Amino acid sequence: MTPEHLRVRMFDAGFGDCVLVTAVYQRFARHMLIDFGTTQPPDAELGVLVRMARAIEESVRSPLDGQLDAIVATHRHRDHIGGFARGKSGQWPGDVIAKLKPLAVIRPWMENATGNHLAAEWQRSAKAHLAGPNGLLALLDREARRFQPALRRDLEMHAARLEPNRFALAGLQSFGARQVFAGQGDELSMEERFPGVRFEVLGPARPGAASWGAIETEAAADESGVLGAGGLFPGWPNCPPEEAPPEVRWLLERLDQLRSEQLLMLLANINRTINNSSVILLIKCGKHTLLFPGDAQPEAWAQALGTGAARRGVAATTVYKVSHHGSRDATPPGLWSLFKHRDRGLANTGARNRVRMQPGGLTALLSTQKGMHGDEWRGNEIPSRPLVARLRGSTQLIDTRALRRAKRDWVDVLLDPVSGGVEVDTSVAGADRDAA
Amino acid sequence: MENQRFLTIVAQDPSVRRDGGILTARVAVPRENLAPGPRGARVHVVDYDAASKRLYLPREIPDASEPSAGDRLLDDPAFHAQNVYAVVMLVLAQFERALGRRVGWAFPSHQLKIAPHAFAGPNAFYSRSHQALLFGYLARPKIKTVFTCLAFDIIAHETAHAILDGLRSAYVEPSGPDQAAFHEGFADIVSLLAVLSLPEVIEATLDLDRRTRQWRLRESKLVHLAKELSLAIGASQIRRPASLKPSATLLDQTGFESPHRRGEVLAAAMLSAFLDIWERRTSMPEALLPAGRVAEEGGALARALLTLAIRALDYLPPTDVRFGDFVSALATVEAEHGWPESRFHPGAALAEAFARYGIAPASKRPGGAWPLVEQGMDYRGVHLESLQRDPEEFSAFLWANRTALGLMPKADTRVVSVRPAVRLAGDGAAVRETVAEYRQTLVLPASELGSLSAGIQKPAGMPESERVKLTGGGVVVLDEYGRARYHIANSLLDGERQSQRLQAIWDHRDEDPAGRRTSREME
Repeated sequence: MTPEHLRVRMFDAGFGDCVLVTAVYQRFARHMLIDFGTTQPPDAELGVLVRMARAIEESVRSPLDGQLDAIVATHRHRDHIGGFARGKSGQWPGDVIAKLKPLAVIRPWMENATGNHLAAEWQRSAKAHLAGPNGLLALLDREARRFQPALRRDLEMHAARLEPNRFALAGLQSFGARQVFAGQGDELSMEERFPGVRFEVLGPARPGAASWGAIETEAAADESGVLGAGGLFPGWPNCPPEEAPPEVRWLLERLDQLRSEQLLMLLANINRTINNSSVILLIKCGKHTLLFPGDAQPEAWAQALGTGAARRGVAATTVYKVSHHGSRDATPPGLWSLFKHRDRGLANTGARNRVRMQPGGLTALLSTQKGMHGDEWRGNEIPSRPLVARLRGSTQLIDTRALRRAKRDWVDVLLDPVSGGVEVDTSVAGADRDAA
Repeated sequence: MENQRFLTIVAQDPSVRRDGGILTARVAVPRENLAPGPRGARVHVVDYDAASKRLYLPREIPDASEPSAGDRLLDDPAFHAQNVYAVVMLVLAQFERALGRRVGWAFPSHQLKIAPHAFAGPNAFYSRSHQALLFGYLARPKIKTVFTCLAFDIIAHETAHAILDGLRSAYVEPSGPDQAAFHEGFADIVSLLAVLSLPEVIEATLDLDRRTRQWRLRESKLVHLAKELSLAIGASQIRRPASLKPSATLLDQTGFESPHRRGEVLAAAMLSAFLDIWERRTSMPEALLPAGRVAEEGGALARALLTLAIRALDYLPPTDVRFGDFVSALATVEAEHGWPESRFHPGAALAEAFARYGIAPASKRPGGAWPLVEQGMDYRGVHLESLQRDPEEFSAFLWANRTALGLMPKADTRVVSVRPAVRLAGDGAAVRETVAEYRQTLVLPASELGSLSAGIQKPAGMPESERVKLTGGGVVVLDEYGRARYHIANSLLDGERQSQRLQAIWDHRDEDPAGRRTSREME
């Protein structure tokens, strides 16, 4: 049996990810939710997530009443899993998801510490670097006022994604679903629920298979606790920078600035390592191949694309969820050059907001928000201008920023597994040119 | 001596010990009228720790009293300040002696700032934008704090970056894989040879192989780099260029594109030449030379090789440097200046060592030295006295000879420096030569590359509208009569080399998005 079509519904998650893949068969429909999280101001977040949860619920109930057959939580960042948190009131977004009776929860192997000392070490070092009075988060909190505004915004974004996701992680455990801890080379056995669809896992790499990116163990995270109040040389005459002689103040200010940048880099490195724990999922159905890489960074791609089979699989991609919200290097040239469907089937325009792309093209799904991360001067803005330009030129680009402009909660991409055809709603297709 | 000041330094790093204590050495640095810091004419030590927001106040004049001894050195920030000051001045003096002139920094100040405890982190770097050498420290529970400002090799390495940046400021710009690696490799060469120049340090660390009754020179503790630091951060291996197995294809292997790794190959070749000559001069069948003599030989040889390597800088092109250029520059210095200590008679030892690591001279002349400028330059209207010091005069000379020198007339030409180089000739007389450096740049859209008729290829995949910046330039060495003797250049008209440079930059355009911010910071 093969689905009549696949419906890929991308929700507007702000700076976050949330995609529902539905295989529509003649008499029933099967659903896989890939990530559910966002980064919003704290007072707005719960409301936004509840609204998204209701939209997911609605999508699972229609057109054919179904349940959530699988959840993929690609990695533990809040903008990917924050929506799974449950509350005592029973009104939290995770409570809405629980009502959809998820059958399986798929997560990276690092999330299962039971009997796996490498995974335990991974989690422990993440925690040790972040939590506690001497952890990085507390340190950043104490020092935040020393940061210049642009850096502070970056810092807040990084820190926000790392905030302990205890509730979301507990939520994922609580659904009573089968827990699947996936890694490179696995094939998820879901033929029973999704006939005619195959799910291959390209990443994260298993330990031993290659280096799998232990969390950076840099010292700065806990040095303030080690040194104590006396600093490096207790008792040696010293003065605070404000009392320094004028001829050295310029250098002192620059060194303070450097310190801020180093802390930020440390935090970014930890985030990067967590990004690299993303489940990279390849979904194959008839003539279509869908690639969902979470927030995989170049290091993770290098490992995931290490085998000929993986490269051949990725080359056939027809729908690509752009990695890491469109950051410059998360779609590295080594990945981009593999896509054999890019630059094809783009010439067709249809009437009145509906378009049938000719089979053979590449559709790119970009879930992002401008102005949250990095800046253009440093060339690390998200989404990256050169990448968006490349996507716009070579793919059918669907960008959540255009959804926002059209005041829509989601956009659908319909895939025909037999003909390889693609149908999208052009009213929200294409990048938000003003925003980009 | 009146013009020298003797200061105590940590000989290698605190992990090298003798008689239960840290091995120290007394070194002579040029005497100057110091202010607290120490702050002299060329460097200014500012002991600010950004992690704890403290400025440690300097002790008066560093050699007024003897520093604390033994392991207490570790707890004495004034000694740390003195240690970095002394090592930086020692290296700077070696450069100035070798080149026969003062060397300046790449930034608009005469004082290089040195922050011995700038930040928490197992790292140290030179930053042009900070006008400073910044040293980090590693403080962790249960281990002794590791200070990079106490490691001779790390200080010498960073100092070499700063001096090289002053001499060849374009070497931090994007280019092929060799250029960034040259910065690292050269800094390694300086740090290895500078520590080996101290005979008392060699003597204290010499190790006798009791079985063969020979000195184990190749296993010396002094040929490691950043050993204490590497041990503390649990690095998988200590950087040790001496253990890099020679291979003619090493530079083509994966992993050797990164500047540090690639630079290590250059340092390995130089170190291997050093060890070959040292061994040859100190191993005698049936006899064991006394340690003092072996150390003296090693020290003199290291100083000679270091002088040679520093002088070679004057014979390097100002842009897009490649390892082969350095080998040709060394051969030219050997041919022109002879060895600083003629007793070593190294013959082809240097060229052979580089060849073992797959580094061939860029010049095709026998021996690898650069070719001499052909006679027939036009000196009309150019005056000797100003040609030796005035960039404007030199620019007039370049313009008059633009065709003979292979300049691209369309490009912007700028004379970056005109510097004297003074040395003693073989007959003992002082020789004053002049080293002038010029750069050419041209910015144009990729679509117009063809119009230059230089055979410069647009990199594969580059859009026609992309703006590309071509850079080239040369060094002209004038002899004591002011006649051009050498012209070592990367011409904008060299289509092959320019194409390779553009392709390399284009291929790596996606790497290190923060590169624009950090390109002037060298670890």
